[in-house]
Amino acid sequence: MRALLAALLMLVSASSARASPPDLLGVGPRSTSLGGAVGADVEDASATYYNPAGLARGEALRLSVGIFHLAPELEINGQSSNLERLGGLSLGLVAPKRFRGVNFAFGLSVQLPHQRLARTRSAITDRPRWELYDTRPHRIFLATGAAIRPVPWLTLGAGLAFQAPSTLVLDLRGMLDLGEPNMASRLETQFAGSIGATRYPHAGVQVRPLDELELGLTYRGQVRLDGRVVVQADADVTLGMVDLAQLALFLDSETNTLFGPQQLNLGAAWRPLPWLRVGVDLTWVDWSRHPSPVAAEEIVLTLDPELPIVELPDEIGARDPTPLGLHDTFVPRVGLEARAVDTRALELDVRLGYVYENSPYPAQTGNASFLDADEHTLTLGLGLRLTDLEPVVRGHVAIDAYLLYSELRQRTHVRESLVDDVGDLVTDGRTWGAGIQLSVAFDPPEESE
Amino acid sequence: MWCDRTGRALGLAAACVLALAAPAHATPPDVFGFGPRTSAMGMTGTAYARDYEAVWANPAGLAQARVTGLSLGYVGGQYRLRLDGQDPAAAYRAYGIPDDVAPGAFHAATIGFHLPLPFGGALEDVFVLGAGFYTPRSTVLQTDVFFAEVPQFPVVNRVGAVHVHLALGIDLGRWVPGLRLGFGASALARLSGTLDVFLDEADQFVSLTETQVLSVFNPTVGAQLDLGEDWTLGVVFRDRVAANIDIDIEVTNLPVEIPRITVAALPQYDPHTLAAELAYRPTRCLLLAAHLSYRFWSDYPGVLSRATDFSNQPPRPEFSDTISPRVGVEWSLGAPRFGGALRAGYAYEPTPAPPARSAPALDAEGNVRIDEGSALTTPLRYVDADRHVLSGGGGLHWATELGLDVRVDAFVQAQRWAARRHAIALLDAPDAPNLRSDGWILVGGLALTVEYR
Amino acid sequence: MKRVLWLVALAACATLGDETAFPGELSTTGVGPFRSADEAETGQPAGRVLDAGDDAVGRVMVAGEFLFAAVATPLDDPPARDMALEPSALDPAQLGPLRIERAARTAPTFGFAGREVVLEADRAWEGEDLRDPWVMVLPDGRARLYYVGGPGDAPALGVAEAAGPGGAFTKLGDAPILMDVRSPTVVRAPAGAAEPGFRCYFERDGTIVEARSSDGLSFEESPAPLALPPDGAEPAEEAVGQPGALLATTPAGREVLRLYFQSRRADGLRVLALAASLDGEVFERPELPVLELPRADVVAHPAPVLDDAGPAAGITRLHHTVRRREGDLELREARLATTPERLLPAE
Repeated sequence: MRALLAALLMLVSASSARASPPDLLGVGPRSTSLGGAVGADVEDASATYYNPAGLARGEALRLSVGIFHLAPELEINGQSSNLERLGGLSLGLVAPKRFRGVNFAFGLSVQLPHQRLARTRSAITDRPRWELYDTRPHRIFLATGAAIRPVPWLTLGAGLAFQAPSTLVLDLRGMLDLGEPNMASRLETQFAGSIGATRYPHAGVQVRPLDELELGLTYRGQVRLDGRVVVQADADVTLGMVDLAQLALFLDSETNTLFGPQQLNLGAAWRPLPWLRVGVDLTWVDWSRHPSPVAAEEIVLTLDPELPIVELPDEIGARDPTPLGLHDTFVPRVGLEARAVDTRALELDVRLGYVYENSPYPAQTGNASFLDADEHTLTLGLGLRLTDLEPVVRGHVAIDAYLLYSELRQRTHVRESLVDDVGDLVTDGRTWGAGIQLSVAFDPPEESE
Repeated sequence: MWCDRTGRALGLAAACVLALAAPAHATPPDVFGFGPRTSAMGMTGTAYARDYEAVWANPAGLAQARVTGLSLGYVGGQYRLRLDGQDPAAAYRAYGIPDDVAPGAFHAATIGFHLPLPFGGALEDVFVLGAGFYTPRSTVLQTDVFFAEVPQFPVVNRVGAVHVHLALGIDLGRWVPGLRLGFGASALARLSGTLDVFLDEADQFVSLTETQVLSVFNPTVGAQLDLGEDWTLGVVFRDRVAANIDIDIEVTNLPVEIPRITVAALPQYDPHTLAAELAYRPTRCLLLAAHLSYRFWSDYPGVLSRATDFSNQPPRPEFSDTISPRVGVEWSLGAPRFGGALRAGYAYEPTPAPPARSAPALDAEGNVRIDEGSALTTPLRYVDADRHVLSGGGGLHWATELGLDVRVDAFVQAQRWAARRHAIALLDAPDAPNLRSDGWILVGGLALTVEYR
Repeated sequence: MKRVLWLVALAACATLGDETAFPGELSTTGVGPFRSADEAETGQPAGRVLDAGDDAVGRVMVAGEFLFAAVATPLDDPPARDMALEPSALDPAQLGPLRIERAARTAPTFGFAGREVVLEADRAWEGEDLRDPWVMVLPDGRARLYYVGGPGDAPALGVAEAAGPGGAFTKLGDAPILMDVRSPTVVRAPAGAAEPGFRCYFERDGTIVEARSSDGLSFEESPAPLALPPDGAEPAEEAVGQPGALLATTPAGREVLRLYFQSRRADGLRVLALAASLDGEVFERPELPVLELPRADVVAHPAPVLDDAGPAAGITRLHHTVRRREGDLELREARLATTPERLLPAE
């Protein structure tokens, strides 16, 4: 919601992420079914992500509501990684207005997972996990954009997307009974917690040098979310009614919960035939700036005076995150759209898309186990448009749907050490996805210029 | 010209209030209202609000909108609460709590839009979508929850939290003359999580944290009925808004066994609210509104819950329901292309809270703890008092040649936090006089609205 | 309204997955940390894999569906224990003749029952006791049972063969195949070894010694004890022994020789440790022991086995013996140890 505010005020301030949900899920059925190769000519609410400039292409007020679902089936050493499925509701709005020949537009896109707005959890170095699939897609995506089309062959747009980091500072006090810790202890808590707001920018331009050819350039800003938990405990250690000692615990755990790399996308859309559209996009993804997702921890535990019956460890640890060593990637996307049926009342489009994402993660040969692999994604979509609905709707109602299949290439991680905590890993997997959307577009009234 | 000067003065006043703003402490629309027009008119609007402000005041009012509008605004203010004549920060220092959590300055942004859906035929001019966003600076949910003995202000200093209201207004005038209905939902974020701390095989502490941000949706339903040309009746019901934080802490494999700790708190709470309002337009220039809000505060469970299954329960707040009467007036003037309005209002907001006091101390089951035959008590310093809200404001509108209507509206509120003598001293010191609280809350805001057909 | 929203949300997707827990520990390197199995897993009291009644159990090891152990019946009126012995060692003077016994797996648990004698001392060089059994299954299914016979001060290695671990074992030859051998373990040489064939590792004078063989029947000792890297523990390791070897293939297809052994600290603590090698010559050790029990329990005779199917595929289970430090003659029990999460029932 903050993003909406900030977009409108142009308070563009990137804070410090396939990491963000749309990188994995796509936004909107049409754009997703074209493999995301829509940077040059997107014009529905998904433009807030693919290219905000596209918001000002059309003059119709568009509202959309849809659902999406994604089921990752990933394996480590032949065992299912039991990743949580993801599903949710998507909402979109594009509100254009034409003044004196110049088209202005505002757009809003929301992907709201059913389960929650966001899920984060700390990573443990020696526990293998699919870093990009574990909890990262499980968060709301909210993006807004504003665009202008000063001349028919040029549109410009910018917007903001929003994410929310959380901080919790917790104070515990009370009495801790050694004899019956659960029954006889009495504890109280107070705390300060906050869910913050982080904004990151999207911006883009679309140009049409030829009637059949359109080009688009999109920049998506970097987002970095860090979650923090601080616990301070101060308790009287007792045995029955006897005070024995004072226990003090301080824990400070700070984790990078989400990193979305900045991205630059160059797209082209070519219509060699009236019924055929070919889109090709190439995305540069700045993965090399990814911080470590392992929590930086500081833990202090003291007991005063020391009790012979309580043996505190000699060394109470703190750990520092180790760098991930990711490399930047270039992601090619191809999307084909063909008009199969074209009558006065009904139009039907068939769509096909392909994406190849080479993994930014190196083979995990050290003691870290953040798993990822190169991925081929194939999408298939249909778009049905009902155009003869006057007088109730002067415009059209559309139903768009897609199916998505991603194949993660098998990858082998050979460890440098024969005796590390995890051992060699072989990963494999696939992801199934589907979505459907109902949208309505209201053409501007006749008197509008 | 007069309107112009007034507008400038109001804008300047609001800017001055905003300039005071420092750390983010904010309160939700339930304390100040939402939108400069209704806030200036004593937090009324249930019967007359007709644009994005209606998403809060009464979603049925949205159905009056015939043009698309987009609004951006700021709300800022300053708490000047005093405990025994001193700033609450001094009391927090005495309790060893960072004094920057004391209620102070706050500011937030507001956004709203209303969007008539351009269906034709039987559905023409029937549906209007609207949304309103109240967004404290850089915060989705800010919460500071203290032990019960620490002075705190659960009513007026409700945490900074993003409030999102989405609503649909339906104009049924074609079928039932003068009737409009509205349905809306407000959304709030809440936090849930787990923290596991354990010693690994190398005697190193490992912590696993998992947090989830969840959403809470609460419905609002409302109706407006035009009673002839001049009168309008508005009724709205807002569901209770309760955004809680729920963190489980499990410490295992430690030399000292620590029970599972649950940090459960309810830092953000608006009670069920039922409001009714009558609006009267004796002339085209004058609008009068009389309003009653009934808030079901008696359900309020308090901020904190017990920390472990067998720890003592915090004392009960024992709040009671309140009825808040409000009045508002608006005087419009000007020509079709350029005009203005002046607004004023008053609201009486009785406190739901009993005085800060020594409350019965409860055991884990919620029974009063008894020691040697006498009931134990524990300090409970929920500090609140009646509020008298005096508000004023104004607005300017300009119909540009581009086909755009531009409006600037501003408001100020002075909320007098009535002096109150409580039943317990500020600090647990022998022979200390009972706490006396009083103060002011100053609020101002302005919004720029653009409307087009 | 809230209900409507919920209905929309529910209708939107009826097949959402459950919220998933933190990823579990995953270890295919056999470094542990191991933990003792519980009664539910083994079906035996206190998580033992074999209930030996009043008998004393020496080394145990598992091959196929069978557990092999050295077992003896305590004498009714035993003499005092020889305190010079290793705390984990049996004192033959307190026991009747030691023989090699076999027990079958009590599916579906990890426990074993139904003991039967498979080998007894009947050769002149063997004396009265046969102990320290180690069974190696050959690629053609035959099982070879290596054992130690002879007096305590002159132990020697003998070998018997059967059609499989459950078959009738016949001793090969009348003479020992290696002299001065304690706690032998025999394994096929890993793919990375310079010389193919078989390796025997055994304890001698607080060190582990390697012997090589092309056929697993005639072994040639290496001139020097195995060079195991120090593990950095405090107090320092002063001796090693009782090796148990496992040839494992990693998920990536690498053959690794894992040698578990008892590490003896200067302060009397006994823990189980691991060294791993791709060639059987150069070993790498983890920093921490793989199993450390309370000081009162002396853990000994590690015998690893690798599960090759089911939810625990690729997971090493480490059988071992435990002897209370106090008391002269207590039951030995072989416990199963493995990482816990992978063996939890699937949700």
